[in-house]
Formats: sequence, structure tokens, C-alpha cells
Amino acid sequence: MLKFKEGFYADARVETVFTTSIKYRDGALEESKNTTVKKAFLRVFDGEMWYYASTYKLDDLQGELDKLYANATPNKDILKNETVKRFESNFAKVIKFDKNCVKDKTIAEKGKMLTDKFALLKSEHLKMFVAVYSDKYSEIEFYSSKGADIKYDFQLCGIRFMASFADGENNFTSSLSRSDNEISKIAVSDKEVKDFVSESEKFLYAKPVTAGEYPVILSPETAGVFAHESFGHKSEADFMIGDETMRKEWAIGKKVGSDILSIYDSGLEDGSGYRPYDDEGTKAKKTYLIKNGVLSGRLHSAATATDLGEAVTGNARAISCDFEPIVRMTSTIIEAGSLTKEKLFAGVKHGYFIKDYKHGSGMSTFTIAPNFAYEIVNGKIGDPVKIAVITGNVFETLNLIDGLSDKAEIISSAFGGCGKMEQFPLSVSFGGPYVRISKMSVQ
Amino acid sequence: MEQEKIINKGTSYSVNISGGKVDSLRITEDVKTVIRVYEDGKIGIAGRIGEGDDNALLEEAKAKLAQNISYPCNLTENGKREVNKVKKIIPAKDFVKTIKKLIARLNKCYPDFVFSNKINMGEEEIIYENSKNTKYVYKGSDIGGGLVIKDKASANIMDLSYGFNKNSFNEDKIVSDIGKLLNVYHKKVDMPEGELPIIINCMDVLQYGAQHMIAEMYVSGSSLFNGKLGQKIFNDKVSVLTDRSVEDKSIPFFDAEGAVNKDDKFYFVKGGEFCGLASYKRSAANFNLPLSGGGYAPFDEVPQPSFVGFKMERTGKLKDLVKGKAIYVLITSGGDMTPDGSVGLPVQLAYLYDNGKLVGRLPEFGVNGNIFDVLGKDFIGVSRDEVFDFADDDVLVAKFNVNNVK
Repeated sequence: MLKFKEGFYADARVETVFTTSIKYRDGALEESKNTTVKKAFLRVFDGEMWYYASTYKLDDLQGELDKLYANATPNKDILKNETVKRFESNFAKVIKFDKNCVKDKTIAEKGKMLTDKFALLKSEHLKMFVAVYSDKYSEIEFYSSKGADIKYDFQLCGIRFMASFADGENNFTSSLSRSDNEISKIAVSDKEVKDFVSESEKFLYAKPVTAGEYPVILSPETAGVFAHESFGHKSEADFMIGDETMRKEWAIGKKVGSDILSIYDSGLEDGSGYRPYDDEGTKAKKTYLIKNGVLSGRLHSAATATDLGEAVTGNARAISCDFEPIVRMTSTIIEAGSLTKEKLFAGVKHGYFIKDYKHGSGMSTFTIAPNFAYEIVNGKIGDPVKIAVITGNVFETLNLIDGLSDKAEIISSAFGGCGKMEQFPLSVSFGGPYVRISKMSVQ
Repeated sequence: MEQEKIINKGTSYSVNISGGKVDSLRITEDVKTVIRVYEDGKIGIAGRIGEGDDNALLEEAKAKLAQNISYPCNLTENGKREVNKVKKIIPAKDFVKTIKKLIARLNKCYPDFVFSNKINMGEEEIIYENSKNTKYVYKGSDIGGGLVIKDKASANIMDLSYGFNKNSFNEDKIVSDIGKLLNVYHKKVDMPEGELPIIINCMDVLQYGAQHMIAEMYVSGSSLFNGKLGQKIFNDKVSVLTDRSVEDKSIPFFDAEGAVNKDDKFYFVKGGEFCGLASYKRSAANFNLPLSGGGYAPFDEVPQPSFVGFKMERTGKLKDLVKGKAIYVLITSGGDMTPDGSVGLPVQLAYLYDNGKLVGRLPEFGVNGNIFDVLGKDFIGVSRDEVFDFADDDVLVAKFNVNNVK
């Protein structure tokens, strides 16, 4: 048990992480391993500065904590500090994955989920494939000088088949993947693998597009990354610290998008963004960022909530015990609308459907690099097209959303994740319905 | 049974800047030990964080042979070398004070802007040794900063950035460098008529070609450069290489498998000719290739290919490559390349460049061009980014199509 000193706020996060990684290339095993790593991250706050230590010395956490105290200056009023007042003192144990834990499956069972599909990864133009299984089971403990005592677990697993196709000068690389909290939910069917191969082959001969502005429909997966990149990052309140302009521009109640648009973030959703407590011990909450086109909230750590005079939201997160928590998203979702998928597409005479994506990014202009993208002609999905990126100004684009389908999907990923400054990858999920945007720049 | 051991020790100090104020110090100490064993064409790997019993780790690695992962045993023989590039950049006890002084000065010099993000300083020691009488030791130190800068009048989450990674620190030069960006930031200029050369960070373009140079991808026939090994693919002046000999950056001279290249360099493209593939010991053995020195294994993973010290060779000085005006691209975000090599880059921030200086901020736009053209007929040269004194990334000068001017 750690001894916390008076005159400071302090907390300790201890994480035991079990991971499995299996990789085959063209059917040959290249990686197969389980690893367990246990580390801790310690924080001491004296009201002015934070002092952090990332350490593997779990048998001497007190010594490591005492070193941090030695750097800080005692503050008899530390408990009156507005940031410290916002820290929750939760006492909880939320163990959700012990009965279907990835640790209980053998590495051979996990590998078989890949090898069973190898016979299907064949075609005239399929030149190379890589099959990957990945899982992670974490047990997180959190203790603070305010009495927080939390233990919870998190689990994520996924499989991915990446294939490269070529025919002469034409080449195309794409992937089929599925991720979830439980192994039983990540299997892909034979038909899905066959469809993936045949769809990818068509993209060897995809048409180029003429750069310009077009109506675009985003799939739930792409709509999710759009929500994450275009608005989610701008809702992270650490970007507003000490910045009066940002506070005026981002005043709660301001109209920022079309009337049909609502976006929320929540650590309570199942999937890769699940996080019942954040890395400051704050309980997860559902936070509307946009409700019916109006700015409704933002994402906070205790420090940013203090700076803006708002409440904590459970969004202080770190990718591992190597880093301190900063403001991050969890699961960021566009809420469903009222149109059927067919009616949504019927509203586009000539445009593009972005089925999935390779990567996205967001500043004042956001970008999404599509993988599978199709032309839309008279409301119907047409030929495959080659698009390098779709881009738009965030605020203009949020106002150009003119249709949402009636069902939202949440997409998880065990591969990669969100990057912010030095911390990548963080497990997040995102999603939404099919989203129609009346005008986007297509290159 | 052959074996190799890699020990990686490091200490780092990281200061966070938030809203123009230093608000935290993070201290990280790490020791990682990895043992790999090779027997009957298989590899077994075990890793440990922290101190511990190497014999137990060896036994663990031996047990991992049962995973049946094929891997060639091609250990470097009789290699002995030690490089110590450690410099006392800033005493650890003065690190916070030094960065506070820098930030206070930036706040004072550029009151219209808010500074945030990290400055990190660290030392590392990497020891590679194997059962074939090889021992390599590398010690290095560096300081890196990635300052995010925001115009106080803007509603963006960030507007500019300034980064450096070196083994020295010079407050005056950093303040001066940042001034070159900020002093003309509010001077908006129109996109000039006619075609101007584009000055852009080399990696903004090169990153898209890199994966197509990986041996497995090339041999599979799915590379953009399919069938072109040994052929001229780019301009005569274009050379692309991995360079571990750089003096002022902390890059070990050996890779994760103890591979060392002649003069610590390996060329993928030399004089425009596609002459080498990115390899590591597995792909080198499978495809009978020379080692590019790109074996990468951050902990207990089986090695895989990477591009440490990846760069283009400089062809001249920026002032000689660009006489007069050019478009200087500072930030691109979210670009990509289509399968036929067409690169599209949304430009978030660019300046008008005129005779060695940035003279005003351009509107947002996009650039695109085929990689074979940009590094071929439209290639002008590669230079150190002479706009700055302290930051020392390299820039590519080439013609691109400019589109979508806002």
C-alpha cells in the first residue's frame, strides 16, 4: 500500500498487460508470441507543476513516488485546488472479461482463425497476403491520495487479412479486418474472405477521378473516422487552455453543424473505446459534443475542466504506463438519422461512396484517404474509383451534411488506433450511420 | 544453438508545455533485455523489462523455439565497435529551468501566439552481442522538440508547428527560427500566378515510396516499382538511402539484428537508379539480397523491416536550387498515394518563399503529382532546410500541380 504525503495530490496507475501477436506471410509463420508487461505511472501535483514517473520498479513504487515528492513543493492548500477538487474518489472493481478472457485460449486456437482462411486467399492477381491476429488483456489498478481505489479490466482482439494484388502496372493493396472485445465475435466467414478477394481485384482497374467537388456518401466506418477527425479532436479541451479566442469560438450553444447532426463520445460503449474509468480515476460518461447541430459539450481531464470551469468527462487517457493521461476520445459516434440507406443514395445524381478508409487526419481541414471507393450514378453504386484523399473544411462540411441513414454502427479496431502528439496508438472506436455530404473536395 | 542478446537502457526527461506554460516533468527510466536463440532454422525470443536473471531469460527463449517460427541464423561474425555520441546537452537538474526560460522568451517575443506540446531530452545505450564473437555498443543522447503554435486570434486547435531533433540545444537559434515563421504569419499573400517550385519536407513525399521498396512487397510483384530493380526510375540527381552515420542525431550504427552497412549507409536509389531493397535477415536470406540494415524489433518481436535514417541525398544549397520565388510548404496533413503513384497532399500551411526568406502566408491549397514525375522530370533538388538555422530537416524542391486554392 502506498503512503501518500500531505501537502500534495498524488496517484498511481499500475497496468498488467497480456498481449498475443501472430503473423503469417503467404502462409508462413513470421510471429507467434504472448507477452506480459507490468509497469506503473506515478503522478505528484503541488498545485503548480505535475511530476511524473514511468517505472518498471513495481517492488519499489514507494521509493519512486518519494523521488517525485522530493521534486515538488508542499502546498497546505492542495485540497482546495480546483483541479484536485475535481478528482473523483471512486472505489470500484469492474472485472468484465474474466469469463471470456483471451488468456484462456491457446495460441494455436488463435492462429487457426487465420490458417483456416488461407486456402481462400488465392486468385490470379493476388500476389502476397499477410494475416495477423492480435489481442490484449489489461488489468488496471488506480489509487490516489484522495482515496480512489479502482480495479478494472479491458480486452480487445482482432484478425486482419491484408492482401496485395497486381496485374502488370496496376496494383492494389487492401485489408479485411474485424475487432471486438471477445474472440467469439471476430471470426470472418468464408464468403466474406471470397468477397474481399473479388472486390479487391476489381480495384486493379479502378477509374481515376477528376479532382473537384462532389456529393459524397460515407459508410458507417468512414463516417466514424470523419466524426473522430473532423470534430472529435476539436472537442478535446486541452487545445483551449489559456486561449480566449477558442473559448469564444467554441462557446457551448453555438450552431456548428446541420440540424440533423448529433455526435457523442462515451467510454461506456462496448468495443475498442470501452473504458469504465479514465486514467485519473474519473468514471466514464456519455458526453454530447453536438446535439441537433448545436455545440453541446467537450472532452476533459481534470486540468482542462478546471481551466474552462466545467465538469470532468472521463476522457483523461494514456496509451500505456509510459505516458501521462491527456484528453482523448473513447467511442465517438454520429447518431442515426431517419432515411433508409436506399433513400439516402437516391439523393445523389453523381458523386462518390467512400466504403472504407486507410487513414484520416483533422486540423482546420480534415482529410480521409479512401481504400474502397465507388462512383454513385443516379442514386446507385457504380464503378470502383481511385481517390487519393477526400478533404473539406471542418465547419463548412458539418453544415453540408444533408442526410443520415436510420441505423448507426460502432466500429472497433485492434490494429492501430488514435494518435495525438507523442501518444500512439490509443484504442478508440467510432461509428455512425451512412452520412451524405452535399459537397466535398475529391482528389 | 546460436544466440544474441540486446540490452537497451534509456533515461528520458520530458517537459510539457500547455498554453504557454511549462506544467509538468516526466522522468522515465527503462531497461529492456532481449535474448534470441537460433536452432535448426527456428528462432526463439524472450524479453524482459527491468533487471533480472539472464539465464532464466535464455531458458525462456529456448522454450520459444517450440513456436516453430522459421528464421535464418546468419549472425554477424567477429564484429567489434563502440560508438559514444553522448553529449551533456543540458544538465538534468537544469532541464525544466532551461525550457521555462525558452518558453518565457517565446511568449515575450511572440505575444500573438500560444505555445504548447513537448520538449524531450534523453540518453540511451544499446548493446548488441552474439555467440559469433560480435559486440557492438552505442551510446547517444538527443533533445527533441515539437512545439505546437497557435495564433491567439484563430479558432483552430493548432496553426503551426516547429520541430527539431539534435544533440545540442541553442535557445537563441530556436527563438530566431520560430520568428521566421511567426513574423510573417499574419502577412497574407495571394497564390502567385504561374508555376512556382514547391519546397517541401522530403519525407512528405518519400514516405509513400518507402513501402514499395520493402523486399517482400517487391518480390511479390505488387510494388509500384515492380520489375524496375536495376533500372533508372528517377532523375539522375535522386539518391535515396538509409544513413546511420549522421553526426548530430542519435542513430545507432547497427540495426536490431546487429547488421552494419559499409560507411553506415545503404542506397535504395542511387543516381536515379533503383538499386536496393529494404531487407532484414529473413528477407535477405529468402531472396538472396544484401542487408539494408533495417532490422527492427522494439522488444521481443521477431525482427521486421524498417527505414531508420531514411533520407534523400542533398544535391545543393537551397539558395542555389531556388532563385527567386517558390512555395514553401510547412504542414501537410492526411495525404496519400494512389496505386499508380499519384500523390495528393492537402497543404494546411504554406508560405511564399523569396530569395531565401519566407515573405508571407499563402491560402490553403492542395498539391499533387505522380511520384515518378516529382522525383523525375519535375525534380529540382534536395537541400538542408536553410530557412532555419537550428532545425535541420531536408527539403525537396520540385514542381507539383497546385489545386483547390481556397
